[in-house]
Amino acid sequence: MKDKLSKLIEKSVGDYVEARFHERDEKFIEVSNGEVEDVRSKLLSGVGLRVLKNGAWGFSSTSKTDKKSLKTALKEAEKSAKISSEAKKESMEGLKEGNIAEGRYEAAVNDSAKNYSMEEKMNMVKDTEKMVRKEDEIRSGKCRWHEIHDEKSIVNSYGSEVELSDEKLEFYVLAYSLDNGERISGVESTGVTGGWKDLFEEESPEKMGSKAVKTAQDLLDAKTPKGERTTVVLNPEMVGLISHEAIGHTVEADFVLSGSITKGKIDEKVASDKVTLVDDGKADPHAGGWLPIDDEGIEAKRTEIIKNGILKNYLCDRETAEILNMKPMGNARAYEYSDEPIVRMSNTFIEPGDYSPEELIEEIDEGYYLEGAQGGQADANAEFMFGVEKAYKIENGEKKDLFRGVSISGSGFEVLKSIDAVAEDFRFDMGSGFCGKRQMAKVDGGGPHLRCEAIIGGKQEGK
Amino acid sequence: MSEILSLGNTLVKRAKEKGADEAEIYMENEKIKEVLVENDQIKMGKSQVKEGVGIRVLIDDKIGFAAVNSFDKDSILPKIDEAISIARSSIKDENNLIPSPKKIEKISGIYDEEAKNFDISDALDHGKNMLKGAKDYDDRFQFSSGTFTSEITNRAIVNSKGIEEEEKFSKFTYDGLGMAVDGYEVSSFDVKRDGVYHIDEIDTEGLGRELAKNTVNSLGAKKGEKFVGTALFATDSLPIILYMGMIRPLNANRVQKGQSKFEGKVGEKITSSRLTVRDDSTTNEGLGCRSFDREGQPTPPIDVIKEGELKNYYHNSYTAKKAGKVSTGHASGDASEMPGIGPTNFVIEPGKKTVERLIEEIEKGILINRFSGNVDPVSGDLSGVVKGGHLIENGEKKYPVRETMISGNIYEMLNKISGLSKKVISRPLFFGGGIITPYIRIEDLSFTSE
Repeated sequence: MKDKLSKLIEKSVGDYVEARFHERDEKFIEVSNGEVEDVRSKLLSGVGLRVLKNGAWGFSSTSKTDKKSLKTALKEAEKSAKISSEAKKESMEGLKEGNIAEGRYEAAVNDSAKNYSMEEKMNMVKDTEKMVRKEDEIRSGKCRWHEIHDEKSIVNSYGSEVELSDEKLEFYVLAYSLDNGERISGVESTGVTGGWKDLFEEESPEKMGSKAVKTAQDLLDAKTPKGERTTVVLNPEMVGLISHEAIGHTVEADFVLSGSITKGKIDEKVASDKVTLVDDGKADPHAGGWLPIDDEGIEAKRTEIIKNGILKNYLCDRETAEILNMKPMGNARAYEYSDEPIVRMSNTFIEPGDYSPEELIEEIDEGYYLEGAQGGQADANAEFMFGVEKAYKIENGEKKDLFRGVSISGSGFEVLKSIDAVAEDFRFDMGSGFCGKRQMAKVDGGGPHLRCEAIIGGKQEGK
Repeated sequence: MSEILSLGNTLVKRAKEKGADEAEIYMENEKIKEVLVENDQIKMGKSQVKEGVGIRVLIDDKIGFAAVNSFDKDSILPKIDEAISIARSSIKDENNLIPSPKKIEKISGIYDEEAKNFDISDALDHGKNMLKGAKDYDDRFQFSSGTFTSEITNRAIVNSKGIEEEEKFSKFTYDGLGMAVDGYEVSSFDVKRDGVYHIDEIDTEGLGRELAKNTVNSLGAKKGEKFVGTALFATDSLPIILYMGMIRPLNANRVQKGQSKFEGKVGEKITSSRLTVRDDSTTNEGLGCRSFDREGQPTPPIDVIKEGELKNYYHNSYTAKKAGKVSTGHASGDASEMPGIGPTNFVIEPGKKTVERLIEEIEKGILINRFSGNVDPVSGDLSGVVKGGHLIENGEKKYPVRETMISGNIYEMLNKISGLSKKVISRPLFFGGGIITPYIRIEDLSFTSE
């Protein structure tokens, strides 16, 4: 396929042209209360073609990969680029070249999910969900399996000729208990790049089920907090969520160019000097956002977005790197063959410090320990609000009562500025999630435990 | 018989031969022309042809499903085998079924003959119009991103019970996102989506203008304050709240799983009697029109809430069988997924007052242009941030506010509706279907600010 695509783009009239074959094989199983909620096997295969002409883009895709269909699709992309360029006000010379990737990249897969039949996967999901529902106080359960296998060939007129073979797996368990009609949920989820053994290396499905049950049981007796600005210790999952949602999106170059809060702030102090925030597609071979090459055929590199509190870099694709005079570091990603690459994060995290996680708590007179990220929202000005699954009150240096229905909000950069201690531990803990920005993307995030100031809110204040 | 129905029949036959008790083939073919706007400029033209086939089989009351993005038989046949193998390993459920044919009344007005001549250059003109509408209104508006999409979709379904249906529609949808920037001041984002079936109804310039107007008007925002007062939800703030707080809980699957506050409430008063809602797949004012659903069942208009009383849930064949009822025809989704449940057009009956009158009657409150936050799908607890909000005092719009959060419960809020506007808007829903809604005024809501 790689050769076929190289030949196809040879004679293109574009200033830059790229062809990307992408075959995605996806399996999904969801069982809830003993019933199959969803089960599917989906194959998506095709070629996406992108052409740059006088600074404007044309894109076309086709599910047919015969020579004639590919030629027609390329012509469509060229036509769209030409027409778009006539309307574009500002033209550009070309794109940044970046570290051009060549060869073949394969995910480190320890026991591929392909070695297991759908029946085995269905049984695992069924059994875990059944186990959850048997426990005291648990009214209902849900369990989900999701696997994605990607094969890609990417060629472009800047010399990238690269293949990628990737496997990403996720497992999710939910247990619900009931308190006076209010449903209390306990969730455990995990997601990796890799195989079956990588996914369940730390915890088996049974153990995850038990933990979800315990959370749903423990939260039954939890109170809700009163709203206040206070000192909080964030666990690695919360750190990952804030790094990605509240900060990461504001440094994506397309958002920067459209006026996000970080525009024009390179070399300015935007966080406590204890903060080094990084995006790196190759940070960990099993992180959910592992991405050694991007869809513009650029090899992924470590990008220090914030170094010791100073904003250093934005996340760019070839085009925005040219405009902002930065380097593309592997952040141009397309979700499916029919999507064009856009600027995305991969694995976004804060570097560890030198405190022990216990020390962070011991030094607090009054505050909260937050763990388990739930849904929320963030804006281009970095203001955010997220739900927190479990919040423990900290009093005189000790973790005390458990609270539920908690939210955390504030300005992402104010939170980063308020960080006064960063722990030495580290983990990625967002690998089971997706990020949505016109298209979906598998991402991961994490970091160490850290201590900062934030606004804590409760659903029913002061219960 | 059309080519697509003939393919469907061949595939159904093949699935039966391979061991399926029953089989359903859902097919879609889309021709898409799209223009992307980014940072005040045309970014890209896109041209795509997409195909999709969803295969659902039933064996011994067990369901299997597989999908592929091609009408090519060589690609589809292995997926039939896979759907069968999935069904064999699945869980037996006597409510699983492939439904029988029912009389379909074909609706008109959803396909514009001119759409087949709609070219990428026409799409580009509409991208330019969005930008023009915004910039002509006020140059301080920054168009962060926008999309104009024209699509012609041909959908067809064939099953082993004798359903053979096909329908074509054209749709033009457009959306924009941006903010106003004045010196160092940056307003909140505003987001708008709109769509129509006919080329001559497209108003991309209007969408751009509205975006610019809302964001520029929210410049100079002052810090909000903590109080309990009236919320006037503008039409564009409502689709997401109503989707999360009303449309999802009406899904019979959620009701049957105990995940809906509306469980057991049919025939009971669940909202203020000012509220009347119907689901109407036939009104061309809405963007969720269709003659048949994802399972080939008819979708006649239904009452959802009548003067505050809950009348119906949304059913597909599975939930209807479980409840001992007939499907309301709300099976939703595309060819890549099993039929789910979703609305067609969620139509809220307008009130009698003008928006101005609704404002005049407010002692103290906030006009909410956009809501960014969450509604818990089960409890209905709502929390989020008001975007582009304006403080109202003694019947007058005073000034824009920022950093204002609202919290409450959607079901309690729906019981405190004190007025609806005459004016309504029609919007496409993000997850499929459409919504037609007036402004909704709600009393006793808690506003907080840091």
